[in-house]
Amino acid sequence: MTAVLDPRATAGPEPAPSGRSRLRPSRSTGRAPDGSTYGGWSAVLVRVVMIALCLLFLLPLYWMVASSLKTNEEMATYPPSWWPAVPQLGNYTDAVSTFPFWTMFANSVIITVASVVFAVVSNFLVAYGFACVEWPGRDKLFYVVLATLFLPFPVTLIPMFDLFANLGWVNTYLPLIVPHLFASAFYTFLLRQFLLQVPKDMLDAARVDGAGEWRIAWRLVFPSALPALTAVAIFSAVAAWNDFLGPLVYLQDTKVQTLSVGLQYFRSTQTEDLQYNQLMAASVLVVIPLVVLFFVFQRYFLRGISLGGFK
Amino acid sequence: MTSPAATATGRAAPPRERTAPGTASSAPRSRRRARQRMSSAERRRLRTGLLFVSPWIVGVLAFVIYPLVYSFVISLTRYSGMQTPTFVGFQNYVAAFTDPLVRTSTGNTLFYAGLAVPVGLVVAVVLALCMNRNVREVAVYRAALYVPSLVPAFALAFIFAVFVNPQFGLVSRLLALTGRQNVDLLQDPTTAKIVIVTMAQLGAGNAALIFLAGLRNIPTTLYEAARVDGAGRWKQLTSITLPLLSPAILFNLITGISGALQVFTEAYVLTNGKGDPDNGTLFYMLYLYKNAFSYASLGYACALAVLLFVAGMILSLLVYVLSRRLVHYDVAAG
Amino acid sequence: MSGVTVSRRRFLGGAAALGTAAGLGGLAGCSRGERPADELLLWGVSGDQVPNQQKVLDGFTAAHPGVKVVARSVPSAVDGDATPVITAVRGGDAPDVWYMDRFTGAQYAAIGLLEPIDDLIKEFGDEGITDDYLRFGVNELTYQGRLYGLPVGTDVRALYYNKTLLRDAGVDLDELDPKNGPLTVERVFELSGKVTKKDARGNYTQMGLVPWLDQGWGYTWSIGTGAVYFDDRACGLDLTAAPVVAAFQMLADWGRDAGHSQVNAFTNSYQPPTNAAPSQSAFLAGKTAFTVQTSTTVFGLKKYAPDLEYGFTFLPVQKAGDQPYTWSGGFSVVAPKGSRMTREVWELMKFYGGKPGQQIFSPATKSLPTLKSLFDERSLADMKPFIDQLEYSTSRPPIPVSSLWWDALVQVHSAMKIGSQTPASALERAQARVGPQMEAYCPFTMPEGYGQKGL
Repeated sequence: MTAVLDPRATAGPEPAPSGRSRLRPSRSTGRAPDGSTYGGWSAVLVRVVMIALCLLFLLPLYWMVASSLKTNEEMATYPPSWWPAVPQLGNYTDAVSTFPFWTMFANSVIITVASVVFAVVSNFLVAYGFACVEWPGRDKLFYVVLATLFLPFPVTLIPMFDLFANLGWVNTYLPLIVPHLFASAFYTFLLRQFLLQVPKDMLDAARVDGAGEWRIAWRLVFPSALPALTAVAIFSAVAAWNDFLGPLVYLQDTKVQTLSVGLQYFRSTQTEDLQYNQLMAASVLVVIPLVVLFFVFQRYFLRGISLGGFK
Repeated sequence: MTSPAATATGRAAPPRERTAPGTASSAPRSRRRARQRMSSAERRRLRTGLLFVSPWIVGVLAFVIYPLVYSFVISLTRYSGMQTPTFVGFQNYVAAFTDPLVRTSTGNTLFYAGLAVPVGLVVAVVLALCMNRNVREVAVYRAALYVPSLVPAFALAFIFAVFVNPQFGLVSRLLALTGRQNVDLLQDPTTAKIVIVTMAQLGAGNAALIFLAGLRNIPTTLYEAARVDGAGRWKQLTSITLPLLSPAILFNLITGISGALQVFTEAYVLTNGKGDPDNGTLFYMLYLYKNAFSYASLGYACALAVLLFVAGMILSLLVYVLSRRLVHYDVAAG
Repeated sequence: MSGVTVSRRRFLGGAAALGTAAGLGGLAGCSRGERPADELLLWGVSGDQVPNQQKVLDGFTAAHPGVKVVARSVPSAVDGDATPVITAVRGGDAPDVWYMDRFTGAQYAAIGLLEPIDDLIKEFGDEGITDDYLRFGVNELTYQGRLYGLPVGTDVRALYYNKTLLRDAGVDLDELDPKNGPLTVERVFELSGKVTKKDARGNYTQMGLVPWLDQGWGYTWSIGTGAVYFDDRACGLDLTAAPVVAAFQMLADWGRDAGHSQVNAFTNSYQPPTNAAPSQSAFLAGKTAFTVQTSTTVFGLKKYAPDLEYGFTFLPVQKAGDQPYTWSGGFSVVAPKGSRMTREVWELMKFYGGKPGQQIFSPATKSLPTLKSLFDERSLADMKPFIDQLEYSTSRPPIPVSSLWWDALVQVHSAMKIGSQTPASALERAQARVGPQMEAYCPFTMPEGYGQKGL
């Protein structure tokens, strides 16, 4: 299945020159995919369509924010109002005090940061091994990497639960972060595509100069791979932050629980008197860190995956 | 004999400037050499390479091979997770094939996959095209179209419940304009699934980014040449953009199928884990989860997991075989 | 960090071949130290019941100075999802006492999740403690002759009605007075016809009884048609018996006549089928004249619709002169596997599940007592009409596949709501799922006296 996602294939419209600053695709023109530019009415039309699409996609987010600012009575009015009569900022302070928001926030941060660090380091090393060192059997083994890309998660659910339970790791962060130490097919694949562009001459020159692989990997290749590493970091951060099934199964103690399950917890502890406005406020607070992360790293992020290419 | 890798390498490079830097030509040679004998330098490189990929090797053993074997072993037992497992042979598999809910949940999952995967691909391509427009405010579009992917499914589920409210929701309001009666989309097994598919589209941003990456690697010269030949915009899309995007499409297709087979969270939070109405949103993974954690039938759940694994592998293989004909690889550069 | 964890850390560090593994120790989450013997861990109630539970616990610590109770609210994502407790027990972090929905008691006992308490009863000389408890409550916690916990509270199902809507439709409310006995199903539907209204497009805007809403489970109606689900002699569950089919047929017929999609579009506007807040209910919104609900609902009525003028009576019967019927659920205190099963644990169970606890808890939460000696408590006077119904009541069958069985019935119910299957075929499918699972636990007999009415 994997030849098409070819381990040997390289990507990028041009041979990548050495050095970080030049690892940049030739897209300075910023053209549309078909290379054309629109003018006149069609430009207006395209913009209208795109703005409509964006609004459609932002509608649920808007609704979340609007709901989080309503009173509970206003939440229940039919038909629903588009904007709260009087924005209730108090919902936010109430939400964080109704359930252990900050504890769970801290847990989410710890798990996410650890997952990201481990994922970046382990996937970088593995991708380096698959892209920058030539060894017999390398590409065959990479097929196996790609095959595991399609492994359904449920197959691992029960065995991993049993394993972690026997290790006594239930209700600790370990089941959610330790697996990131061991690379994952998706990120290894992304990173490898990027690392394949590192010029072999540069690596060979460093080897001739007597630098060890470890040193080359960290000193030479790691810095130049930062855009792709940022992409991996953001993808894994989003995955860890929003992971639902993992914490649901492994973390039951609120002291270690994360926000994604915390929202569900919030709901279940309020069975008799569920405050949906506060629930929405809590949801907004859960989303904000990711949105901030995305905006801060947006430029790096897009460059990282763009350069990786998909061949 | 030509290794699949070598073939693909040649084919993977698009015409003209898609010549691969260095690695492409040397790899097949080193591969053939490796078959003959290994020099000490090669052995050293093998050691180094293996050392670098060792985290992944350990990972595969611990998180792929071990779970697969363990799942299979447990699937042959009756096991509650609390007591020692009792060996029951293939009884769980026999039960799975006669369990009406396995059929229902498989049907639901296939329905979902059949709809969500193609729709998801189209939506993601459209989003990617938008994110790649040559306009000043493109960063705004990128953010607007990607940020919804960050919203947790739970919050989405609640918001969607408001949107599909039979009396005040958007759909019923539209129906009311034509004088028709209100409908409750969540009380029909088919429309309930369609609501979940729609919900899932808000997460298309991730697949769109993969497409965006593919789009940006299409050399602009191709379009220039096509325009010289008088190709219109649609022609350019179908004869350049989509063919050159096909590896990314394949990637998103397979991850999409894999994801669709495992659809869980949306149904879990939207129906409170029930899979209502009349099991209309009881997806395979939800049923598996319920067997494991509500009915404490871990053995049965493992049998379901093994079956899902086999089905997933067969589907991926099928997609791959089909893709060999459809996915575009240029032979020009070798 | 315990020594065990350190060795695990080493193992990992080696396996990972990564220096970063060394950092793991600091990330191990909470460390589980042994709790002192006089500190009990309770997985208790959640939400706005917590203050009421705290009163019970305050009472306990006053009576047992020196014993500390740490109460934890346990998130349960969805009903019947045992993930939290399985996770805790498997993870060696089980509570000493768990406030559990006792409906799944037999199932959890069967899979080895709970500790039997017979030995505690014997050890501390409390033989006969169960005599004062409602029989069906104790039976729900009995599996293969052993007792697994004490029932804490209970409820009954009743027919609630909106006096204003009925009066406006010209119905004489006297007929609905409980002292006139139960109405027939037919009569309730007749009265419903009088209050039903539609708008110009044919949408319902007001209805009488929507029989499948709230607690109007097919199961509820099937008690009225005389269904018995379990046969001791055959060790078999029968979901396809005539009385069961008849109950679901009633729902199917009603749905066909009223129009499934129209009814759902109406009810779900005010009461989302899932994730509904407790305040979101067609009855609370004053849109339906009748509903089948639990006795606990008076709590929600007071809170969310204080101006709603309502009454309640027996569940409607099949034909005039039939005996009243209802069924009950409720919670319990149990000891999951891993509980330390000490004297303190038993004292807490006895206090929480016994007279002192229920005297505090029941009036505050509007749950009915499970102790017969509390039936005439002054603080429970407002619940007396419900308490009087307990003698007609029974519980769901305490079988080792109870959540599977209940889920299957709820799914049949769901099919009736949308008219997607006939009752007979839906019940046959349910039987095909549950029957074989039950067989695996045979031989099995119901606790003594199950299904018999009377206290």
